[in-house]
Amino acid sequence: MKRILVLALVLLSAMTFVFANASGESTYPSQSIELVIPASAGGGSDIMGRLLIEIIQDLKLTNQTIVPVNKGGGSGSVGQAYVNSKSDPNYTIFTINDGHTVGGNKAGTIPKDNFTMLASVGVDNVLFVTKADSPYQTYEQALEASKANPMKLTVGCADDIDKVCVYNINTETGAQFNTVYFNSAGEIATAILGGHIEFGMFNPSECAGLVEGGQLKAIATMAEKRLGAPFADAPSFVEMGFKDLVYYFSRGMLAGAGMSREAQLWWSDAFAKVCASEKWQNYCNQNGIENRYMNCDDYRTFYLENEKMLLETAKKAGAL
Amino acid sequence: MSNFALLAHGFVTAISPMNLFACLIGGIIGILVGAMPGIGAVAGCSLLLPMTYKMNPTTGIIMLAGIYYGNMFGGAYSAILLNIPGDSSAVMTSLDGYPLTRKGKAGQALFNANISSFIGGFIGILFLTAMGPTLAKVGLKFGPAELASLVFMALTSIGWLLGDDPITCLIATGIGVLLSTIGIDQSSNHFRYTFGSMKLLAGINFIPLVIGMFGLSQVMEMLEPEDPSKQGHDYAGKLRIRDSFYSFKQFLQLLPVMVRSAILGMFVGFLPGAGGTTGAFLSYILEKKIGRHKKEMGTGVLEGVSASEAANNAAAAGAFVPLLALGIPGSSTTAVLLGGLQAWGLKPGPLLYEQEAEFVWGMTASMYIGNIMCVIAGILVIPILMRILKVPKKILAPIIIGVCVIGSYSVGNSIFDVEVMIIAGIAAYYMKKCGYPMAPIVLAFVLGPIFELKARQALEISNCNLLIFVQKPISAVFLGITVILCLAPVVMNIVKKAKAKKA
Amino acid sequence: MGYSMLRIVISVILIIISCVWMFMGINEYGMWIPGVSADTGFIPTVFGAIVLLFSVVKLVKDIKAYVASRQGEAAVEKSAVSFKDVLVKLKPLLPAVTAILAILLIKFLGMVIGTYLSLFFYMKVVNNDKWVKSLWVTAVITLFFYAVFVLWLKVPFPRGIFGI
Repeated sequence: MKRILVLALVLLSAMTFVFANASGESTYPSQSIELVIPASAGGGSDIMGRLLIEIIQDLKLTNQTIVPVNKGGGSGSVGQAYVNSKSDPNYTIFTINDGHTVGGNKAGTIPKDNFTMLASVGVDNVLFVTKADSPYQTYEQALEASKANPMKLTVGCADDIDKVCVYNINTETGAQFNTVYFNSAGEIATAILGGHIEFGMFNPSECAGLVEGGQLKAIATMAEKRLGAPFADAPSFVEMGFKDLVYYFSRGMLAGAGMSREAQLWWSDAFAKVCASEKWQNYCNQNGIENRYMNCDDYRTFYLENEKMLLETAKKAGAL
Repeated sequence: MSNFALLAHGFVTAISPMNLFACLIGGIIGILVGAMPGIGAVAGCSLLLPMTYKMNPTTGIIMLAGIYYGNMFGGAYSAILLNIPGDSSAVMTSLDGYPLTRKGKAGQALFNANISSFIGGFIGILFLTAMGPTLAKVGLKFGPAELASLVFMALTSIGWLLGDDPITCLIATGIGVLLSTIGIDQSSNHFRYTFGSMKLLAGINFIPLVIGMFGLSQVMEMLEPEDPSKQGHDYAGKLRIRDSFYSFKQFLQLLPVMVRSAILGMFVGFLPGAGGTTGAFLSYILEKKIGRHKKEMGTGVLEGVSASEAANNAAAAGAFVPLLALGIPGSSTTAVLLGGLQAWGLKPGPLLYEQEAEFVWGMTASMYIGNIMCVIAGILVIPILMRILKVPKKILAPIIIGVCVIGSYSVGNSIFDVEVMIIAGIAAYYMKKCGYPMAPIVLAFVLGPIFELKARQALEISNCNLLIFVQKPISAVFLGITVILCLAPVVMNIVKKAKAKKA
Repeated sequence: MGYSMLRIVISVILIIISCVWMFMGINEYGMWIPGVSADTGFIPTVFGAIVLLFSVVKLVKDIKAYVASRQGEAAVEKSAVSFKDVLVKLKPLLPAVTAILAILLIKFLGMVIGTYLSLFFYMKVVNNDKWVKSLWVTAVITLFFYAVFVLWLKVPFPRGIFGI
């Protein structure tokens, strides 16, 4: 009888040991992860998101599968609402960019203490573009013309951020450009080429093909310094004397509110490795994006300030 | 024409075994994905896109293009057999396709759909070959004002679709537009009519709406007490392929329908802002206005199927025009392809034709081949498809319910879409019983937002000057046609009465 | 001209909806921005007005028809609506009920079990098929959906407590 008791005790303690290990010491991540892309398949955010997954898998940072989920619409708010609805915040992450930050605030999908910031992955640029054979070959000419014909020259905008940029341009340079929303960069390009509007705001990747092909021409950039080819002829606003007119379109990775610190640090670290990888560097080079990594804490500071600034300007620009 | 010489070179590329295989696989996947309601070409292409990264770009895009136009073939099957459009461009096909099935002519309908898709695709690809870049330039001339007028013309034509009861038709059109206003307002980027619900932020999704309106309501109708006069209806008709063929004479009668629908579809396909669905709509409306059997359209006429199918395949080809010539996607599926092109390191844009000639012409050549493969596959599959009709209604019903639920979910991975589908199905069932037509709701739902966006863009560009719609020549033409079309019946009535008085 | 009562109900619902749309369109979203273009509420209000106007016209027509038919049948129809008739009228709702059931079951039990149980419900309860037939036909259908949508198309369905 005693032997049986001892055996039972040993077994019991062995089992508790096993269970303790199983529940307490499992490392993050211990199940599959969803990477939500708040945009439809095929677009810029989508390609970026899927590339990030690919690099993570290349670098073998985890054995768990990362599943991309497209939830486009509402300037990113649909994706954010989806993330909010998940019960476990540790296994859903998503891409963010400035446009979605504004969109989320508009739609009310930003949780009370904001999302959990994981890392900044890159910084995109914004270009002021016109038709190649347009009468406004430099920004100065465009400025003159818009002052002479207030609100007659139109700039195509794909989201609220573009509108905010034009507002800033108008305020800083004294121009009076009109703005019109379009659904996508492609539609803005079509409208410019067809002569229906005069200018448009683009990320480099959205217009590179047409600029190289000689159909469109960039006449200014909101970066501090000029960009590389094929935009090398476009002076920056800073160069032209408008020192405060600098803007970078930031892209980063977020997770739902309430993610554990452990998980957050894991991702922060993982993205550091991703951004250091060759594939990511190539992607950035090809698309005119500046590879800028920030860890989760630095990014949080940056993000909150950036958000505040964006919302203030968006309100003034009438986009909010 | 040197274009055709380049095309000949392209065929050499396209006939390589690897590329032929990719073409075949793409086409078959496209047909299957198209036939399955819910999931569409966009999803099909984005799912397979990562697989193609390992292939060489020409092979990859041959496969993806195959999925795209294969999808236009397949969408007709469930539309015709089950009255559930496989995707939005097949909605018009079901209007005549399903009644044909009820008449026992499913085989003919399917055959006609395949042939029309083939001819439509062929004409579209032909235009792409001969005049791709030129067409792109023409498309550029259609700015917001022009498109607004075009869509306005289409909207006013909806009334003609069902002349029976103008009041319910107008109400239906209005309902369609009101439903489409839920969600984000594209012209101002503000949210509308979401009533505080997070789920409505993206608005109501078109495919679940259609699946509910057509599919679910249909199963509900199946559960009504059996109508003795409808007994003994052999929907399956004849199962042999032979009996689905139509005579050469019939083919010649249908050919003009196919050709003009294809031309219209192709043009709409490359217009920025319109798409395959709009193309199918406009062709159907055109056919209804000037076709031979215009009075019988909607009750099961082959012309209806031809118009819609030829147009949507041509539009798929048309969507490649801006993609290849300018690097601007002409539809959401081509947007996925654009992503693929960039991922392969190609730079879509005007230089593509010069820098990557082998790629462009290889792909164009393979589209011809793929078109042939799809039509053959489609015809061979007809007897198998028709077997679906032999399945007893009692078993078909749960299958359709399953398709409705799972298909709706798969559109956006969201349960909310299934909820939309159910509500739409119940509402549609009762509204149909009370005599409300469903087609105007669907048309207005798609065309309404396009009209609003384009009209408001045009006004914003002109600083609220309404005259822009007549100052721009193309826009003025469309408006003129609209006026003529609206006044014509009134004038004719007056003339008739005058003649009667004289006599 | 069956469903005469329903027609009136639908017209009333449409009138209410169009009024809500118009009200919000005019008050919250704005009709016109002078010098720029139509505002967010313009199109909804215009089409809301169309629905409102014609629904009112239809309502009047339908009420007249309803009253007329009532007067005609008054004597005859008093015996009326048996329980069986009500059941027959409600039967078409069963597919919708099945679909709702499917949503709930899929959400909590996962796609495979959810689909299986709800379609089984349909076969056994609605069709009144035999047990064995219901069981295996539903299994085949569920397997088909699983193969196409989960295995092949990799659609991420909710995973219930059993993980599928």
